[in-house]
Amino acid sequence: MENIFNNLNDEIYSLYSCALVSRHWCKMAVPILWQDPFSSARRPFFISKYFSSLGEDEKFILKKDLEKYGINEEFSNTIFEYAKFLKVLNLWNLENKVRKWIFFKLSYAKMNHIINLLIKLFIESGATLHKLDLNFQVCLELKPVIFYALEENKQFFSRIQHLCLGKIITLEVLLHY
Amino acid sequence: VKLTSSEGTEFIIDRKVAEKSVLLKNMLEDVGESDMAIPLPNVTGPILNKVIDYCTHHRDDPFVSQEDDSKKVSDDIDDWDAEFCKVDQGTLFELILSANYLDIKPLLDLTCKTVANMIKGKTPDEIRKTFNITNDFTPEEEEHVRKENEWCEER
Repeated sequence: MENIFNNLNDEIYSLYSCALVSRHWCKMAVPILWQDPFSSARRPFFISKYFSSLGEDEKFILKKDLEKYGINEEFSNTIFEYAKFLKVLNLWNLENKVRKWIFFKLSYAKMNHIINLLIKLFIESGATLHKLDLNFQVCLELKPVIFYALEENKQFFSRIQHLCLGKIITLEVLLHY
Repeated sequence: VKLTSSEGTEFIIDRKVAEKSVLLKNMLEDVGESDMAIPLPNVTGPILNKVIDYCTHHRDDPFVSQEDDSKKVSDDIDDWDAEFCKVDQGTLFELILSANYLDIKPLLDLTCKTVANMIKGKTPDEIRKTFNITNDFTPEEEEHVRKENEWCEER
């Protein structure tokens, strides 16, 4: 089976499918998926999965460091200890992926902050919307302060004529309303 | 060289053909020329027949060592080999097991590549259907695996 999966070395999507077939296939495919993730052209989000295997002290320190930059990272336990599957380490790629990971996380954190600031400003400035489209990216997190501001400024939604909930809207957001 | 399959069927083949199998090659080197048939209890007659077909067709190919497999491309199967692998799944898997047991690396690679090609580009559900596999994940486990490996989803 390992021999079969090794033929899919460059086919990350197919290997990923194999990992989702059954428990046995998962155990066979996951180590191959994670043997050289830093060379893949994929986004670097897999890096977070390694953090779960860090020692408690290391996790605590890293979490604090990341929080300083507004990055809230959850180190929940993972099914596999992915670090042990690494077979190829290229320092150039490692650095590149870690830089991208920080960039993505940092830019999301900053983006969220700026978007929240702006929405709060719109609500509190006395604006009255005519059209609202709630189609947004999963990574956008609306802070509770937005919902408090909405309570205080009911005019914001009072004249809405067009409302679009979009495709990506979580139940949580709807419940807030 | 005489070989007997698991049911006791006897096959007589050239030594050069037999030596495509590292297992048989080592045996023949250890034992020397002998009229005694070599028993292959793990290989059935029909499968042994197919294996012999393969080894006969490839008898003059250069020997491929274990280290030579750095570049694996699953599309480079020639027409004869592709035709050879047009068998039912049961036969294909028995061929893999026999190639592994007899230590015939090119045949093992070919049959594994063929199975890999059957997997390529398929969704988990399509793979389950192709190979008749039951999904034994709990929904939570499946979701966990999906989440932890979702970085693979971007094509």
